[in-house]
Amino acid sequence: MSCSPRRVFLITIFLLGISTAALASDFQVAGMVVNAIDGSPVARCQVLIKPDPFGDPRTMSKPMTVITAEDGRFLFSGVAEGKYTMIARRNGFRVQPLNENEGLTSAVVVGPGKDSQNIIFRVQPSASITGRVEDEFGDPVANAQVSIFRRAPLQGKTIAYPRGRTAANDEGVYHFYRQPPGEYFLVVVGRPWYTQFAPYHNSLNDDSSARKLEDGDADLDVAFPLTYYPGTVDVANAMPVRLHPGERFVADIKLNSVPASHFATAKPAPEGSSRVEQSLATTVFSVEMNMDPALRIMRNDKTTDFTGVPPGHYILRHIRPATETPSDEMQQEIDVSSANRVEFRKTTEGTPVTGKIVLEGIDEPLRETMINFDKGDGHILAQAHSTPNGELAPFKLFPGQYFYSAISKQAVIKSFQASGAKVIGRTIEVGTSPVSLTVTMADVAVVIEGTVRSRDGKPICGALVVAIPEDPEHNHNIFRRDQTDTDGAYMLKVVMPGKYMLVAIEDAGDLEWSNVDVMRRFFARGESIQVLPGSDITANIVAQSAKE
Amino acid sequence: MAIPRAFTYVRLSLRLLFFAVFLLAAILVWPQTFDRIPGNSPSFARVSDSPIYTLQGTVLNSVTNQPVGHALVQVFGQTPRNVFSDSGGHFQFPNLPQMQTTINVIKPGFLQEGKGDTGGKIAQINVGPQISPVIVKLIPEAEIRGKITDKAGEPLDGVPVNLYFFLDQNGVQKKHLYRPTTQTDDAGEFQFTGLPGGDYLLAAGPSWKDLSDPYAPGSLTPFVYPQSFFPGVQKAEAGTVIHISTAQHARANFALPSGRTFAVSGSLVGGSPRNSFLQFVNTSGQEISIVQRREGLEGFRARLSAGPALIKAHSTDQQGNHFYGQSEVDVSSDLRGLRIAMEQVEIPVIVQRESSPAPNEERDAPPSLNLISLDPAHPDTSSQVTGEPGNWNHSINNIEFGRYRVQVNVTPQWYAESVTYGGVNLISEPLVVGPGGSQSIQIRLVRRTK
Repeated sequence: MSCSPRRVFLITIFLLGISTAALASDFQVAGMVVNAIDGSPVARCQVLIKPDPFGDPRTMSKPMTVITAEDGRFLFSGVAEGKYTMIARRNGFRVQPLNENEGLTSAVVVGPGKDSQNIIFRVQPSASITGRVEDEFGDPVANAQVSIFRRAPLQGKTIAYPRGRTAANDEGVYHFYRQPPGEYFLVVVGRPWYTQFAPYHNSLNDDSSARKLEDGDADLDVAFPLTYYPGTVDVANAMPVRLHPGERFVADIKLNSVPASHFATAKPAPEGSSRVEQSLATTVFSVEMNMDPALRIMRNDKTTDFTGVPPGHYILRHIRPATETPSDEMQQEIDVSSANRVEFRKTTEGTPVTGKIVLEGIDEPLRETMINFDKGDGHILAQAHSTPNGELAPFKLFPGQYFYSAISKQAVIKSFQASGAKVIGRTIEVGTSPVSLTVTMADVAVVIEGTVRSRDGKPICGALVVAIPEDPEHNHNIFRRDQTDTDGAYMLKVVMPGKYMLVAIEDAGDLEWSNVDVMRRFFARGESIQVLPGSDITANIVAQSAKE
Repeated sequence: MAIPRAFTYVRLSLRLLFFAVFLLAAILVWPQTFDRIPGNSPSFARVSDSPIYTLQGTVLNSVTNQPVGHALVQVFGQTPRNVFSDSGGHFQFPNLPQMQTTINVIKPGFLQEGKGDTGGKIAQINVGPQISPVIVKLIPEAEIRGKITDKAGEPLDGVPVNLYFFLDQNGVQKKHLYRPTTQTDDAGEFQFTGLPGGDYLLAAGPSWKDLSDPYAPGSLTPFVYPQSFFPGVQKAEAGTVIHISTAQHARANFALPSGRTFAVSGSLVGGSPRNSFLQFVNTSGQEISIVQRREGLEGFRARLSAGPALIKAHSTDQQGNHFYGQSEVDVSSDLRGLRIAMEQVEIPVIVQRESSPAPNEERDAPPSLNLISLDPAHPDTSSQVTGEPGNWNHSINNIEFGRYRVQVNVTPQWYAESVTYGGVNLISEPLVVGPGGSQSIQIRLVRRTK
């Protein structure tokens, strides 16, 4: 039997394929886990690698876990070529991915010519804040709601943002653990323990009788105002907790009771409405916080009685369910005084908004699309839903400036026009006049990718890459950023057409990457690029150091 | 000698005047005198036609006899009244009308009624001329604190900790969850406060500390700290009971043994898989599934810690019929291809009365059955009364295989003369429920003689 040259060629290709497949699983991932504070090796730490969410799991290794040796070293053998997420966990440390920084991580890249055996994994020790919430008599405030705010860069700007909430136990003790080091504020709302034994003060019907007490009797109609650590109601006097890695900070908080107020919502539910959600909120570090300790009692006429309300400035919101059209939204700013008096300062009605979505250059019907409106912090305040014919379901926006963005599986926003409102960049300024939108959507977004190297040409792992748009103030939500992997590669996805400054920064840490005043010093050695619709870009950049 | 009429008037007026002065002095002096002596006799005053009284008392710690300040003291009359005790524990309610009332005292850190004791409550006080000062003793709460570590002594954070107490149910000692689960903090510490004295059992875990995909087969060795009972044993029966007395502060530190978990997978057969749920328990009835996932309508996958396990499957069809199946396994390696067959488990309850019910008894509630499980791996259950009024026959249809002590609840006019299941007398023998169909429970009720 002879073997034709064609058959020999095919067999050779087949054998090469087998050999390549064998080699593809013969890589090693190795390195050392060290304490980020002092660089000491971390023994008995679990290290996991698993396929990167954007990799092809069929050709990559299954998840693997190893435990570091006494010298902190770890080794994975027989790893297939590909991109992996690496995570470490150990008691006393937060669960953390490699080079975690504000939501970004570095992937471990495995393959020919890739250095995956010298990984230094710096793990941050856990820190915690614990304390006791007590009243002016030293009694614990059980079930007090303690909120923690972290002051750190978020979306590239340093702000105090909420990081969690917990309830104090019967002893008034609360814990926030596995916290990264940084600066924190603590805010507490709670109810005096004895108020739960007070009868309901129906002061709305008969104000005079509400606080009529027998001589010498205890006044149980009191409330705790929203209080900041260590026991102040004034945010200006709030004391920050500076939490160091590995620290257990004890922050006891004292609450002082004040006479409570009561009021009824001024606006009943509209005719024909099944219900209107009425909620009471206050603002803490620009974030709305519901006043849970206040009691709400719905009346038959669909107004709501609020009772046990501490004095303060509140936002009273009336929201009709979105299932009922037209949706009805109204908010009132109110001042509640200790004298059981409520002043409705400002009533704001939502401005009606209509509009349509035009799909450009895409030969298929419009699929479900949402247009979101936020204040630049990513917290969506309104959402417009498309209908099958391209119209937007009518909705309301309170007057003010918003950033707009879209959620769509088909396209991105190419242009955004509004009658009755002012559009600058990715912002819209809404007044009291009805607004009509025309949103044109097309497949114009691109990918920018490349490698970040040091000045001597070595790939840099863990560098921050930022694309800063022109007129950043009005284009805050089209900043794009990534962090380089172990081979120095980065990829910026869904980049909108326009002009950008592209920079790569080592040791970025808490850098305010969306603050142009902070970033301007990197522009001179950055790359100015023009993104054209649909044209992907490759851009290799030289890293700059944030420490320079 | 005749007394002049005018002189008689003068003597009468003097007597009235003397009496009036005496009465006025009594009103003015009496309350002031006793107000200066806290804890002495009550005050009495007449403001209008109805007399009013002052109720005084002292709040004390029942263990130390120290006064308890800023305790909320309540009396319940036509309108409830509230005062706080002062720093000496004293309180008083002035201006009370004559009445019978109760006193309730509440203070954080002390037991309240309904929390396992009646501390802080005085059932009946007669407010009136004979009123005397009261002493209310508050019972301090007990607590259990502790620390959970691994075998190397390192604290384990985020570990769920449960506290159980014991209750006698018709002669069967059962353990019940006392409080919702708590979690250890970053120092491995946990605490249960506000406890009445008694016997407790403490459990910690399971805590799954592995990072990898729990379903991935092969090289993974996911670690787990399976649920363990104080002082670090797997079975509840082997756990040490913690006895605490009133106000006692106990510590219970223990190390959790770690072990590996195994993949278990299989399918459900019969029943109504669309409306089914699975439970993975050990012989103590504790959940041992670290994770579980359904695959399609019939398939399931889970990771279980090692040891004997019971996999229980329940389902309900559109007609409301209940189906049950179970599989006993001993997990020491990965297990695949398990089949759990579910079958309808319904035990009819036939009630026979010695005599016809009186017309006014027709709508009385039928007897219900409580089935107290004798096996910790299975829960208690009860019969479901669904029939028409007057029809006392019903059924038990939400029961797992196992052994149960049967308790018959019936209106006071009747008592159960006999309760049988096949040939088994359920008054003295347990009910044994297993696969393969069931018989009916026959109850014969006899009218009580007056």
